[in-house]
Amino acid sequence: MKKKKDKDPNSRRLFLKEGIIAGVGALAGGTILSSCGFDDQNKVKVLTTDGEVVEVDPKYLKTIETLKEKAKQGIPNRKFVMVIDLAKCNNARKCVDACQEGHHLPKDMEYMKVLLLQDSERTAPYWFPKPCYHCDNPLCVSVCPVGATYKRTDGIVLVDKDRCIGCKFCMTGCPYSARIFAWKHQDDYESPIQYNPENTVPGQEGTVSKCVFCADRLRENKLPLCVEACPMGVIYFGDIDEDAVTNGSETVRFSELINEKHGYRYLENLGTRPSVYYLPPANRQYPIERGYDGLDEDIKKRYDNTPYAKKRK
Amino acid sequence: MDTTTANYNSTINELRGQIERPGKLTILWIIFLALLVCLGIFALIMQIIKGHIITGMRDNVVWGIYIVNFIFFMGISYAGALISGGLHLFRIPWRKPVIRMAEFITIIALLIGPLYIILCIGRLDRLPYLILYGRIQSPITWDVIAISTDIVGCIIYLYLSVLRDIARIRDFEGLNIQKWRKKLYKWLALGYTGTEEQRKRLNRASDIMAVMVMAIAIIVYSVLAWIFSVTLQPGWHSTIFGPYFVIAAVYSGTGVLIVVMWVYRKVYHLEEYITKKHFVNVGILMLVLAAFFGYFTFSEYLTKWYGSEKNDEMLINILFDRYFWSFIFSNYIGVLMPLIVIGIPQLRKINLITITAVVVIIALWFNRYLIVIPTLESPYLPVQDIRPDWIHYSGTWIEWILTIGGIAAFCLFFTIFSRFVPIMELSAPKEKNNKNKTQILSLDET
Amino acid sequence: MKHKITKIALFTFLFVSFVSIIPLEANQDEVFPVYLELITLKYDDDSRSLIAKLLTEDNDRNELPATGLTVFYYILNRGEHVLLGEVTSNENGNAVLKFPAGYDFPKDEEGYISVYAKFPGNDSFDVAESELNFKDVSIDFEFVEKDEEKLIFFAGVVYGQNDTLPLADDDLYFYVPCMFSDLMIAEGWFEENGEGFVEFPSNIIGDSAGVVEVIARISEHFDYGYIEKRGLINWATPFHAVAREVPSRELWTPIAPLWMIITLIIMLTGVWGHYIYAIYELYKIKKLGKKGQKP
Repeated sequence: MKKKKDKDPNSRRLFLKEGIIAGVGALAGGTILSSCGFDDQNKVKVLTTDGEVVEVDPKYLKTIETLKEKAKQGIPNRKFVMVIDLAKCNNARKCVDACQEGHHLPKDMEYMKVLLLQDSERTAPYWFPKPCYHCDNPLCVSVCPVGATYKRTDGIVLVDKDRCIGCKFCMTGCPYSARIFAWKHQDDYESPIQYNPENTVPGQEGTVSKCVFCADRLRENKLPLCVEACPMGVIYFGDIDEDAVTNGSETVRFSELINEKHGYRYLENLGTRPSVYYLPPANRQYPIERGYDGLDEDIKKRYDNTPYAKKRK
Repeated sequence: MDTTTANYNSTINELRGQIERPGKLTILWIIFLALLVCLGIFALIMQIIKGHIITGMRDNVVWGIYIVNFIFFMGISYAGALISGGLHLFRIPWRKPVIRMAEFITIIALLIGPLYIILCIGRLDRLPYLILYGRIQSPITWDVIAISTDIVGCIIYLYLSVLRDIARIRDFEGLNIQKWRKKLYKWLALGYTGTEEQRKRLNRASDIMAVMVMAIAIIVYSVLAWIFSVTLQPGWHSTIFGPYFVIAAVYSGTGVLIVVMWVYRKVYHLEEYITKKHFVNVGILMLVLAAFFGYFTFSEYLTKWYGSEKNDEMLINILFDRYFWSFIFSNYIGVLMPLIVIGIPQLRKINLITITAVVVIIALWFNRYLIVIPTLESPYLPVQDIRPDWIHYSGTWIEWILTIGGIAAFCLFFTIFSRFVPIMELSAPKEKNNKNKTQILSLDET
Repeated sequence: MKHKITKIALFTFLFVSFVSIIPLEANQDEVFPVYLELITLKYDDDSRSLIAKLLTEDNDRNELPATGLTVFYYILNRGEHVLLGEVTSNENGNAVLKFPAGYDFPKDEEGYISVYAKFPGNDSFDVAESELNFKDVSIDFEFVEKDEEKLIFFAGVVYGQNDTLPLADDDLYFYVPCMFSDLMIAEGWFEENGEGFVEFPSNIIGDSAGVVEVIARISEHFDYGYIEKRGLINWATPFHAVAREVPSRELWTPIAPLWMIITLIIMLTGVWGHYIYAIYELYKIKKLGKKGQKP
């Protein structure tokens, strides 16, 4: 029975299943094992498709190394783009929740943030979902001293948490504050699952992480978690070369959407060339106050510094 | 033996107290410093065990006191390099008593500074990756290359300048030091006997290394400044950060040098060697640098304030709101005090100059703090959070203890080094009481 | 003794009846509701399927697909419900009954096919059933290039009980498949004679040869259900015409720009060269010292 709230992404099971089959096949087929010492102590824990944890000699898990290679290369012939319609966003925060759940994030770590922005005193406030923009001129990638973060051919910028040394230079390099740091130890981090940069699960203490456009789901032609979770259909996602973006229910031409609604990129003048476009919050479907409905007091207090919130009191 | 040799033997004679077996007070002092350093190590272990969450750094202000300390220590190191290199190259007449101190400052601060960057790193177990997987495009890699080059250069430079003195110590008989130290001096002296040929070679090498060390100091500190200025952060993305940091560094270095001079003068009773003239001379250097520093700072903030972009305005508001007193202290008092104290001849007293130097050091530490942290507190996208430690940065006890530990380590190394090699160059002359002519008896002058 | 046996028997009887009542009561509380939606799809190869989508709720009132439930399909043939088959719902909660192309569905006078799906219920799930009346239709399209214009001509028919009528006065949508969904590229209208045409848009991107798959689809029609037809054509812009060049030496690429590498090498050689010279001088000093010591 496949629940809607799926904690274990299928991709991981699929790859691990391949790995297990490959390993078992190798054993059963009696292929010649390499002569490197068979070290019992170096076994790796993996999750089988039945949900069991078994220990396997790492050399059977060649598939995991190729996972990292694949993660570096990206999905061929694609270039992903996201469009966020600010006229529809009501701060339902379902995108934040789905992302946190899908990536085993604690409640205080958010890859996707929703801010209340107001450009000046007299302009209209608007709810502003902010994932990582996967810029085409990523300053965060330029300043990383060890190459832990990299941009692939399909436009996605990933972080390899096995390489990250936690110097946080990329966090100062990003003008959009898209990256977060794992400051403390979390129990989730002790998961027996093998790490894959496309997945960002499990997390690691002392490393940087961020939105990855759910790169593991993209390999299965599934939309990112935030796109599917949004009840208002605010977030559109697609391949810019196909000129089509979808929010799960409607599919539109990217060029038409941007042209008709005057799409723009945030802080374009910084020269980062983001891959996320915004549609201006004109002709809102619902008033901005809707965004406060049903929120915890804690979250409501977050926006107290905007002129709108000050007037509200 | 000619009179010159007799003279210089007597100088060792007078300074021998510095390198012979230490007295009780010195041992107590060393133990005290070692305890502070151990406290620092304890704090470090706490940080490794509990994670960086026990520092004050959070997702917006990701670099806090550690980076400020890093910049500060590297700054005084490069100041030491520039001052000692300059004194040596231009054969400044009054340099002999103070040049060794400057050289020590160079090398010791260079050993302590990088420790602070290491404290900032989230995964210490992956430190070798900086070398194994280093990316040339990253300013941090430039800094790693630069600092390692600088450490090697400074060690060679220091070695070249103490070589002569080590040779003299080796030759001086009747010194009350341990046997292993005698052997060590002999080995380090490389058979230097002061012959013409050797002298020439030594001078040539020293001169070249002095030039190198000065050039490297400027380049390396600019690289450190570029770590900040190449990012897009509104308060950092400034074109003058390179020269600004270098000037601020040398400025703070003169302050540290004056303090060191005062301390050693008191502790070793070197009143005859380190005179008011030295204080005034270094003080004048400090005054000139204060003027430059004030000029750069004013230029920086005037530009930000006058044609103010939204984020520059936010930054200036934070500076004058939350950090008002630090700002006044570091950028006004820190600039004006040396100008007044050293500019007015009547105020040029040794103690006053030293107090000014202390003020300068603290002011410049705050200046670095005000460069790093307020910028990170005012990013382009507003910080919408309710946890106070995520909105504003304040250093926790771990960071302060480690700061104190670093300063204690600096003093500790200084003490140990100066017990090994005298704190002044051994051919330093005694100032004749005759005020009309100051005959300088110096040896090996080239 | 008799007294004791009676007591034990009474106690046992009460205990057993008490215990047996509890599951019944629990059962009644635990029966989950089931919602059944019945749709029909006709595919490109003219095969058809009937899909019963089963949804249930969990304890928190969240909707879930109901898997493993057996659905019975019936068709109305001459007034009688005939069992077509039984299918168990799969992991997505869909019970799919497939029919090959050309299957002869029994129709009434107006041409309607009446099917009925029922989930009879079990201990955990409630009964659910639904009925669907639909007409069998067929659509087709072809690509025609006329006077430099690229057009798609399409036609549709509705199968009645004994005859075939044109599919008239309805919409037909054309899509191209994209990575996550299908993008609509044209909207057409069946005229009275069951035919129509649309223009093939010029800004479609295909594969490297310019080939693209076009899907003609009617969705959620109240009479016809879902029906689609596919075809390939090479009228699209070839992909490599839009593919971008990936720069190889930028600040953010794995390999650094050439000028950076060259500058770094020059500077490092310059500096370390001087170091080596200084160390050489020291070495010379040592040698001279040794020579000086020789008697």
